[in-house]
Amino acid sequence: MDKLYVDIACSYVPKEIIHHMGYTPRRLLSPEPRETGLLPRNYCSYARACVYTTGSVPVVFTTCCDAMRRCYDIRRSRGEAVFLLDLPRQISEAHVQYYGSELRRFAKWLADLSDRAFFKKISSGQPLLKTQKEVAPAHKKPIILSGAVLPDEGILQLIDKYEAAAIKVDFCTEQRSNAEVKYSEKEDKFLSLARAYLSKPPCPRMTGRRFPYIRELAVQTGARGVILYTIKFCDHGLYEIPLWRHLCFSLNIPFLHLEGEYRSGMPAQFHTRIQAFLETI
Amino acid sequence: MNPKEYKKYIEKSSPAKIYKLLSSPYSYFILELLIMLWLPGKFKKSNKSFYRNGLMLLRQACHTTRPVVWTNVYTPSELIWSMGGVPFMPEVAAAIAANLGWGTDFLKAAEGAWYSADLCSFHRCALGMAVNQVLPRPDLIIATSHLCDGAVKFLEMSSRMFNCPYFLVHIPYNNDQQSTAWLAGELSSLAKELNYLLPSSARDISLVAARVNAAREQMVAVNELRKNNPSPWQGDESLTRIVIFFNMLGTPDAVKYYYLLRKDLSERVKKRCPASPVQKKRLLWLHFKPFYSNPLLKKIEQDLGNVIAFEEVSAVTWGKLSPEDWWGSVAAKILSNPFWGPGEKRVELVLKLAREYSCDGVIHFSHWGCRQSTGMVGVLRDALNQEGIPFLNLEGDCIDSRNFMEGQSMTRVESFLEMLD
Repeated sequence: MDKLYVDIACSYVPKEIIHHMGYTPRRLLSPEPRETGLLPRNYCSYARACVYTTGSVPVVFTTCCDAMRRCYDIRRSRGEAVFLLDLPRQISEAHVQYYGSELRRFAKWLADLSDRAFFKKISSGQPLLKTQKEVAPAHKKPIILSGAVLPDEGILQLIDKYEAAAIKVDFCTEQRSNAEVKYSEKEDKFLSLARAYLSKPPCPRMTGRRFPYIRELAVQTGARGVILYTIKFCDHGLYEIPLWRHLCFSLNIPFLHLEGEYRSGMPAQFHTRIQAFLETI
Repeated sequence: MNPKEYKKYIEKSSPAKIYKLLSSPYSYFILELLIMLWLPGKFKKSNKSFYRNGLMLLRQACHTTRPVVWTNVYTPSELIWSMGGVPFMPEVAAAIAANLGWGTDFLKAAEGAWYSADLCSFHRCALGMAVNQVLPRPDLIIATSHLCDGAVKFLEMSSRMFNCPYFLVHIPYNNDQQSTAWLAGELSSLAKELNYLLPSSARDISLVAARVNAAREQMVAVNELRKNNPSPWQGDESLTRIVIFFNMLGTPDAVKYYYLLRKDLSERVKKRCPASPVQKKRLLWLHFKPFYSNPLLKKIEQDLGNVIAFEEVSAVTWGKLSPEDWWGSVAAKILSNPFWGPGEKRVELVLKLAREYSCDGVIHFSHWGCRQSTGMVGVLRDALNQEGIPFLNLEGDCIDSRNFMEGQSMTRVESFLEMLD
């Protein structure tokens, strides 16, 4: 029997709920965007790709950014099966309660979609993406690769080619995607999920915890360089530039910012810049 | 960023000495006195009141007697006034800077501090002003998460820059009873948390609620008067005056301003003296306008003889505030914001306004870097097309004059208006 997929556009969507409702969660990684006229040219290309794709697979967006909210609006206006989870930026008890109620609403939506009974027990989490080793081979220079959504996977090969290793791939679509859920008999399962997902490594959108997190990354991993790789017109990514730059300056770690379009490949300029950057380490 | 780096940026900025004057309350006091002597041509009373309001706010913010609270637009300013603080919105300050022709200098300062030119220029300009130390120093910062991501990030960065407390209020996406109750609880907890920072008192709440309701009554009446054809007011001016709604609600001065504006407009309607003699087409304006000196709105309204009958940002979509259920009514006001929540909310409002104000066409000013508004253009275009209402999407920038292509914009506007004829 063919799998029934649910596409998720944010790493804060609990995959456990989707699994339990009989669906298979799948990260929404659309092909490269084409011009549709639905979103302006100065817009995140990942969002433009999400709008370009149409299909019968239900999609779950979150309020993670303005662009994703608009993707939800556009796909909803086309009558597609889409859901929007309202994601808080903080992690206080009130926010956990709030996100827990949002997750309950999400489970109800999936139950209505699948005609399946509302769940009682949640299966354990299944990571969507492989996590990478956090130790670099002795002959390679350890670096951190960070951003929001990874614009193009080609960068990993490029780094490898120039004798370096990304010991931390800090992206929503990579190592930040999984949460460690601990259920308790005393607590509602939705609250446990909400707590676990809000506590996972913070994305650039999150308030308060992001800077301590990246500082810890830079200090504890012993990285010798940082590459911030962002999608053009991604506000969260753009606000990371002064943050990382300041941190790397204070820690005396070389820093490189690359900006690209979603699934646009590795232009020759990137080869030169990465090569030159790695030579400085 | 460390203080040494800021100092370097200030030294680099040549007009820094002039900007120093901006941080002195005495500058605004003198200007307030000068405004008393000023005799503007039309709308004498409300014009004076508008400028006095702005100068008074800046004077209060630069004076150190009351805590200055930085916040984003659409955070109800009455919340801060009621707690004894002075609300200061750097986005509004950015619009004023652009209007005075200083926008580019501040934008460059922000870009020099690694803030990308692809970010919203309201926030970039405000960051440049912060870097140049021309804004009143915040005692604390309160951000609300609705409207846009940029504001939340910008205010968070500012709190790091000024090393002051930062509070973020999560605004629920859905406008229902549960969300209102949750938000009311959050606002009430925040007020308790701020007790040690702001001199709040219960007495202020009933007073402030009464002022907001009185101003609201006048605003509704003003909006009603603007339905008259020919229109008694031009969009160019009303889009500037919106800052009173953002910053001054909750003060007696805002009530006075809206009362005077209503009186001015009533007189115009009564005397059959419209905003401009020729009003060929009535337009609805979406989003804000370019605040720097530019001929766009003058061209539409004066040269080509049309009128911006109304703008979506002036719509009163919120109900009266209740002193008995203060937090609940403020929460309801926030959640009624048409720019937050599902896109249909904004579409419904735009269609309603286009009908109520008998608009012949709708113009959306797509501000560079504003993802939340420009992302709606496709949906708005489809909805308006279905209703047979002509729609023009005009790309530009509210603050950064470098992103405004005059020739192209003028040609597009002219073609659109010709099509309406």
